[in-house]
Parts: sequence; C-alpha cells; structure tokens
Amino acid sequence: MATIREELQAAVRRLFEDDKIDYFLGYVDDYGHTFPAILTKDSDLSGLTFDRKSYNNLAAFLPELRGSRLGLICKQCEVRTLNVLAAEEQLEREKLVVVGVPCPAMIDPRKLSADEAELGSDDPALWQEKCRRCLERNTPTADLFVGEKISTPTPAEGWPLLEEVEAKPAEEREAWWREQMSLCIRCYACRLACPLCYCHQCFVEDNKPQWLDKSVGAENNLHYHIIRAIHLAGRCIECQECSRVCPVGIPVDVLNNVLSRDFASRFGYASGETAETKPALVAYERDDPEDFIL
Amino acid sequence: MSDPPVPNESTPAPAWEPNIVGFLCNWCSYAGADLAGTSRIPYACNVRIIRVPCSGRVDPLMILRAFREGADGVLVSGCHPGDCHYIEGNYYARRKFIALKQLLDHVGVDPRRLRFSWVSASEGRKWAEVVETVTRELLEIGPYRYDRDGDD
Amino acid sequence: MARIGVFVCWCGANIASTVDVESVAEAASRLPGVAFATDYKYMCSDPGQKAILEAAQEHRLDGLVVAACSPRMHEPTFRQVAAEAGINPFRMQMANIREHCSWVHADREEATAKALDAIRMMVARVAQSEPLEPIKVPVTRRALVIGGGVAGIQAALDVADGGVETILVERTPSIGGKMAGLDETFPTLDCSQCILTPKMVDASRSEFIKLYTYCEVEKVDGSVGNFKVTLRKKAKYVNHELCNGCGDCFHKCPYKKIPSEFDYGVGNRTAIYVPFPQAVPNKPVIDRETCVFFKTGKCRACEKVCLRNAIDFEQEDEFEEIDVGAIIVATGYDILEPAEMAEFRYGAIPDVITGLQFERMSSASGPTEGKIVRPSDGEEPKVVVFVHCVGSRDENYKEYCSKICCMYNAKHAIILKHRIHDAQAYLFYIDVRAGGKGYEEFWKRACVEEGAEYLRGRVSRLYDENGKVIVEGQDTLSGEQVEVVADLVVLATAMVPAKGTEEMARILGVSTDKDGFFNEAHPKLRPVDTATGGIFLAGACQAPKDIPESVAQGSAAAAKALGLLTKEEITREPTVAVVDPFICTGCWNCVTVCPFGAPEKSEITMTIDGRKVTRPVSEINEGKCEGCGLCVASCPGNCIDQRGFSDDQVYAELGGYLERLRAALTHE
Repeated sequence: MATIREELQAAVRRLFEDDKIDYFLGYVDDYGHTFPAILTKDSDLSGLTFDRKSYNNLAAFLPELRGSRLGLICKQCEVRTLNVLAAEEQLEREKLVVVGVPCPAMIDPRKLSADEAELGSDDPALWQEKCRRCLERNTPTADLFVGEKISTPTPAEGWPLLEEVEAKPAEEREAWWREQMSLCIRCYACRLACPLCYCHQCFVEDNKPQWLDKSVGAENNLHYHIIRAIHLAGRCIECQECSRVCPVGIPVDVLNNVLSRDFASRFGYASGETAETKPALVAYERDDPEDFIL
Repeated sequence: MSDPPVPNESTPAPAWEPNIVGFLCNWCSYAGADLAGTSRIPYACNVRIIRVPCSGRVDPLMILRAFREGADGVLVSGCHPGDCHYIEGNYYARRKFIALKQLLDHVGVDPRRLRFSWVSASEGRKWAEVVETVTRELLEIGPYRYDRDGDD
Repeated sequence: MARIGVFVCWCGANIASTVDVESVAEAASRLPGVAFATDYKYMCSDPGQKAILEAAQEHRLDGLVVAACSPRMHEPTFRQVAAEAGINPFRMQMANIREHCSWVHADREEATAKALDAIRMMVARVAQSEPLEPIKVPVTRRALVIGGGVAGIQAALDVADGGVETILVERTPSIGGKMAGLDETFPTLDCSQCILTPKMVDASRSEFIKLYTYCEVEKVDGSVGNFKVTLRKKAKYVNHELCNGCGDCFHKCPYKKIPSEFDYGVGNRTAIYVPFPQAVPNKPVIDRETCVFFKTGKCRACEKVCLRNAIDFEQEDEFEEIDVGAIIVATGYDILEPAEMAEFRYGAIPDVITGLQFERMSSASGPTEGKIVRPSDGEEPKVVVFVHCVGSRDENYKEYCSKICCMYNAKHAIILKHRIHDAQAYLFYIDVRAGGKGYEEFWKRACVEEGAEYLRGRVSRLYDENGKVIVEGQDTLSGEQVEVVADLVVLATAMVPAKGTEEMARILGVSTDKDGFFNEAHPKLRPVDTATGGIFLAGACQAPKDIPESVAQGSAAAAKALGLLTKEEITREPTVAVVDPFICTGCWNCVTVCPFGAPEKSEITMTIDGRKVTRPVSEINEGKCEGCGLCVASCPGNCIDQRGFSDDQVYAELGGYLERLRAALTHE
C-alpha cells in the first residue's frame, strides 16, 4: 500500500498536470527537518511529505498568494484558519484546493529529544498542547483526501499551561509575566507566523500617533502582546505557532488562550468552526456580563 | 479638598495622590460630570477628563498609553446599555473592555487600576461617587510602575 | 509652532473663587505653542469676546483655548468667536474648569493645578487640530410619515400644508389607526369618527400627500436630508385603479366568519374586505391567509361579481424606493395582550373584554351597532366592572402608567349609563390620574352625575359562577373586602409599543427605551427629535399618549420636518471617520460595527512593486457618518481615524497631562 508521502506526491502531481493549481503549499523534508514550501509545476515534488513535524500553519502564507489558484495541505489548524479568513473575506475559497490529511498530532519540538524514533510516538506527552485538545484529525472540509483516515478524537484536555500560570497568586503571576516580557526582543516572529495577523500595517508600526513605544522593555512588550491578543479575540484558532516560533521561548499563546477560553465559555465562541462567525469584538449581546462596570 | 478621599482615619493621609485619566463619552458621562458641577457635588481632584464622542471610540491602545505614560489608574465611562447616543457603541465598548480587563487581570495588573462605569447625563451624584471610589481604591494600592527601573 | 491663545474665564466668582485664574493664565502663557494668555471676568460677555478678537489679531493667533465652563454650554459661542477672528472653529477647544473643577473642588491649590492641567491638555490638542469645514449636504424636499393613525395623519397634513410632498405609509388597509375604532372621546364626548374621518379624507385628497396603504417600510438607508427608503407594497389582489369601491365583492365573499382585526374580534369580516365602512381608501384587499381561493384554488366569487375586473389574484408584493429628506415615525401602540395576564381570566371567561372591545361595541357603526352586550349570551349587562391599571403600574408587567386609561374608564362608565340607564358601573382603581384640560371635571362627572362607583383597590380574584363574573377586591378606603357580581368586566390593559416597533427601530437605526417605546433625543427639550438627525417622533410610539397629545406631537414633528425640508442644504459636523485606503485590508470590521452603515465596501487600485493591484478597501460615506468613532477603535490596523477626534488629538491631550507627570517623576 502506498505511503501517505507517495499518495500526496501523486495527488499534487495530478493537480499540476490537470492545471488545477498554480502553486502548492506543503511541507518538504530535508536534513531531518520538515519545512513549509511553495511549489510550482516545475518543482521537484520528491521531498513533499506530511509528518509529525509539519508544524507550520500554512494558511499564514495565504495573504501573499491571494488571488492565485492554490492547493494546500490542511490539517485542522488550517481548516479553522480558512474559516476565519473566509468570514473576514480575506479568501477566495473557490480558488483553493484543500488537500486533507490524517493529522497524527504535531510533536512539541521543545520536548523532542534527538531520538528520531520518537517521531512515531503516540505518547500525547510529546505532542503540542493544541493537539491534545483537538477533536478533528481528518480535514472535514477537504476537496481531496490523501492517506488513511485515522480514528480520533482524543479527549480535550483544556489549557494546562494557562491553568498553571493562573494558579499562581497575582503577584507571582505579575512577576512571571514580567520576566517573560523582559525576554521579548520584539522580533515579531509571532506576528509573522500568525495566519490571522494579516494587516498591511501593524499597529506597532503606526507612528501617527505612536501609541506603543517600539523600544524593548517589559511594559512596552507586554502592551504589544496584550493588544495583539485583543486583536485575536474570538479569532485565534489556537495553532500555537506564535509560541513555537518565539526565539526566546515565550509562551505567547497563553495570552491568546485567556480570551479563547473566556469567549468560548461566556459567549459560545468557537473561532473557525464555521466560515460565518464574526470576530468576537465586532459583535455583542445585550446581556454581555458587566459585573465589572461601576 | 472638601471631601478627602481617605476614609480610613487610622492611617495618616498619604502625600501621594493617584493620577487618573478619565475617558468620558460626550453624551452621557461628560454631561453627568457637568451635572455634578452644577449640583456642586464635591469629589476628589484626581481625574483628568478626556472627552470622546462615545465609549466605543476608546481604543485599548489609549488606555495602555495612559498607563505607559504614568497614569496610576484609568477610568472609562459611557452611557448605560440601551442609552448610547450612537445606539450600540457602548455595547461594543463593553465587549472590548471585557477582553482588556481579562488580559490585564491575567498578567497580574490590579483590576482596580482600570475601571469602567456607566454614568448617565442625570447621574451627577453617581459620577462623584465613581471618582471617589476609584480614587480611594488607588490610594490603597499605590502608584503604578510596571518596569520603571528596567526601562526608559 | 502653533500660535495659540489661552483665555481663562473667571465666570465672576464661579471659577475665580476656587481657581487662581491669574496664575493659571500666567503659567499657560509659558506652555509650548502658546502665543498669548490672559484672564477675564466673563469670557462669554461682549467685552470678553471682543478681547479674544483683538488678541487674535494682535498676536496672529491660529488656535484658541477657552478655559471656562463646559463645552456643552458655550462651545457654539466660542466657535463663532473663533470664526469671527479668522480662526478655524475646530481649532478652538474649551477647557472645562468650572463644572469639572471649580464647582466640585474646594482646595484652591488642587483646583488651580487641575485647571492648569486641563488647559495643558487642550493646548496640546489644539496644536494637533486640523482645520475642518462643515460638510454641506443638499436636502431632498420630501417627507415620509410612517403610520396612518391620528398622529401620522396630522403630521402628514401639516407637512403638506407647508407645500412639501409627503408620503404617508400605513401597514393596514386603511388609515385612521386606533382612533378610527373609538366611540366617543373624552372629555367632550365628541364622536371619534365624526372628527377623524374629515382628516382622513383630507389626507387622501391633498395634492401634496401620497397615500400608501397596505404598505410597510422595508429598509432605510442614508441620513438626515437624504434618506433612501424601500417600501414593500403588499399585494392587495385588488387593482385599486380599477376598483370603484362598490362593495359587491365582499358581500359575495362566502367566507364571512373571520374575526375582524379592526373590531378586535367583536365582529367578523370577509376574506376580501374593507376594515370599516369609512375606510380611506374605501377599497378592499384580499387577505391571502383566509381566502378560500388561495387555500384550495377554488372560489373566485369576488372575481366573478366584480364588474370592473379589479380582482387580480396574480398580484405580488412590490418594492418601491423613495427618496425623502425627513422621516416622521408615528407607529402608535397596541395593548398588552390580556391573555398573558392569566389572573384576569381574559379568554377564559367570555364576558371579560378589553377597553378597545368595549369601544367597538359601543360605537354606533360597530359590529353591534352601538349595543353593549355580553359576548357570552348577547344580553344587555346591568352590572359592569371596569378594571384600571391592567398590566400598567404593575411590576410584574409594565411599571409605567398608561396614562389614558383613567379617562377612558370614566368615559366608558358614562357611555354605559347613557346607553343602559339602569346599569351600574364599578371601577377598581389605584388612583385617578386626570391631568388635562377638563379631565378632572370629567371623571368627577362620571362619579357624581353618572353614578359610577369608584372602588379604590386592586382586583384580587376573578371567576365565573352561574353565568356571572365574580370580581373580588379590596376597597382600601373603607378597608373592606368587596365582591361584585358582574355581567361584564372591562379591562383597561396597558398600552405597549405597536407590534413591530423593535424591528422598525432597527430599520430606522433609532433606539428604544426599556419598555420598547422609541427614545426621544432629550426627555425635556427635544421630545420630538430622535438621536438620529432627520427622524422625528409623533404619537404613542414614543410613550402612552391621548388624542390631543398625539395630534400636538404630530404637528410638532411636522414643524420640525418642515424646518429641515425648507432648507436648500444642511451642514453636518465634519467630525467624521476617514479611511487610509493604502493600509486598509478590507476585513470589514468597520462595516460590521457601524450602526449607521457609513463604511462602504469599495476598491482601490494601486501599483505595488510595479504590479497593478486591486484591493478591497473600506470607504466612509460622510453623509451617513454620525461621528461616533466606533469604527476607528474597531480597526485593528489603525487604518481609520476621526476628524476632530483624531488619534493625534487624543494622544496629544493625554500627553499634555502625562508629560507633566513624567516630568514630575524624573524630579522625584
């Protein structure tokens, strides 16, 4: 029986041969790593793969390729992203070929030892936190599906890291975040990796007026991350790419999760579940909680 | 000041006074504060008022900027739900404030530093009480310095 | 560098007794951007204004800060002064050092410091203020009146009297509203129809009024002076151009047992019908829901009998878009469905009816031709109980007073006595509210001359026994329990906004109060305006009202509308939102949040890296923007700003205060 790798390569080759797409967004492996790649009909498809290190949220590349006929591999992270982008009219869905894959859960690179064997591991302890919460492994909206559907889902686990931080008393929590924020070098990798940070100009770059100082410092950095989290309220689909790409290891997504969890429980928000949901901050209910208002 | 904001007589009045920025919507809260004036209702002297058309105009960036530049507290006040001059601006504002408050609470900023209130044009007394409450609370928790040492 | 003049007002002793105005002016003169600062006893007085004009010339000022009372008080005054001084009025700001400072703080030092802060903030703001010109918009000289009850009819007649074309829209088949169904009116006992029908006919004959009955407002776009309104003209299935109103069709209609809406179910109507004999227009419509032909495909009796071939079963709803400059909302009221208040046994006991049903019965042209009878057996009632405040002034239902019930209960008691001389009326009331010309005298008349028995207390229990309705309650004046064995019980049910008011509010973009009535712009001083420019209120859609009040407000709304529509063009505050199309991503957050539909989806074509790119971007329709700034704060990329309340201005204002703090901190 063909491996998923062979099936995927055959499928993509066919898409190019039938002139269905101009580009394919996928993953290639090399030197033991798995990279995101934009392929054309002239590309070498032999490296095309999908494995437990296909971390990147490929939807992050969509704004740049907007308007092209495009195929892309979609695990649930991308599926939800596409829904949000569609709701925000940032996407021409009819120009996309969604290639579904059975997602085996992504490894948390920070927990990965040199031992490659672990890649096949089904030990959830080695997975990224989001994968332990994920209830859909087989790309429900796929236009074509490669590989063999896998039975899931694993039970949702909540937000262990967020809960860990929350368990700290306020003062400790403040100190912990201050420590985290003082590490931030404002490289904006989190913003770049985020598939929903598609503004042509980020508020950080706005200098008329310059609400937010660009200089590095715990408070400035904190404010940057807070505003980014607000912009993602009810939109963030929890792909954790912001945290994964952070060169200094700040678990940025914990801030996003504060709102993801809160908006899910308070307002029934499940971002990216459908292509209709409007961002949480451009919606309201007349009886939204206001116990905090004097 | 005729009405000192420190109710606790056992502690000596601190020399430090909190600096508070108030964003008030033009139609309800600003008018409510005007009414407190015409009714001569005394209150603490600590709030500096910025008039905005609607509480929906207030961007979290403004609030964070106020903290960044040295405010010890920020107060945003708008029309009661259903009374918004612009029909629903305050409903959107409320959602936004829920989000901002959640985040600030989470990162350990004392929730009393950022307060919201609904004050109508007829609630001069309420405006005075809100200012008194916010000022008193900030006196209790002291100045706000996130990382003055490590920065600037 | 800006050349700003700061003018500190003493307001007599109002400011000067608490704020050290001289030292404030002195300190202000040293602020960056300030070319001149002074203080004066009354800035708003003639000499005060002159001082500003002179200083503006002498010091070549390009901005003003007037530190005085609230801008809500004198902003128009000083904007005018600025204009006269050749300074753009939007480069004038008021620092509120009276209402927000001298009147609420007693400590001179603190108040002085706060006043100076306020000036600092405003100086910084003015320095960042762009000169702005008011937006001029031409006015469409046509009015729309929604609702053809007495308030709407009056409004339409008065607007038309001013020579302005008026479109009067009514959703039922005839204009006339609730008043057309009333018998006699308090306190004069005029026959309601006799005084209303001439007005109805006037409305239908006026060369300036276009009457659209059986028609609903579907959509409203645009803003003051220029609304675009989509009307749904519901299919009547009768061609009114051909119909001559002979009435053969409804006499022939075999289906005659449909409870008449106009008679509140007291009488019946046919499937093709005119709601009442004096209807305007006096031409029938077919009720699709009850017409046998629409149900079974067979019948067509009306079509066969119509000599004018006016019946048209193929008709469909039609949509028409109209342009109007002003809208008068007169959608009226309904009564709180009494069946929802189970304790009054309405619906359970047939001889418990509502006040409006009583009106139809006592009306000479009504289904019983003016005979008051018991619905259960058609007998003449001898003992009738009228219950006040059914659902009104009741925290379980409506907290408010419905205002008209005390008077119409008294009227009903009088009418009862006039029609059935040996009948006895009992009225259970909380207290009698009879504020109005001749009102007090009127209820006294019911009481003293007409022998109505007023019992002060609420009804505690209603039940039927041997064909009678037993009403138990307490007479709180005598302290005794009373029990009345009644033949008929009439409930004065609460007045509520007409069905569909909530939807209409959404369509119009105006707000409603906690009870669902439309909100006026100001409860005292702008009771006819809504917060949305160009939309006015008339009648009971705003709050419970009686006929004279509704008529008065109809006329008032007409005067307001005429004031607007007789202008060539109107000016709007230029404090509108502006999009920077080069950074807009077209996420449409602004489109989603705007309560006024001002941001519109548009496109921009630009060259990026030598490539022509067309991007979706938002564009603000200045005519619709009300200047709330909600879109500005909802744009994640800060692509939208607001003129007159720009980010730069707010930032500067904030900075004006906080720079002092920062300076103080570094001195620590």
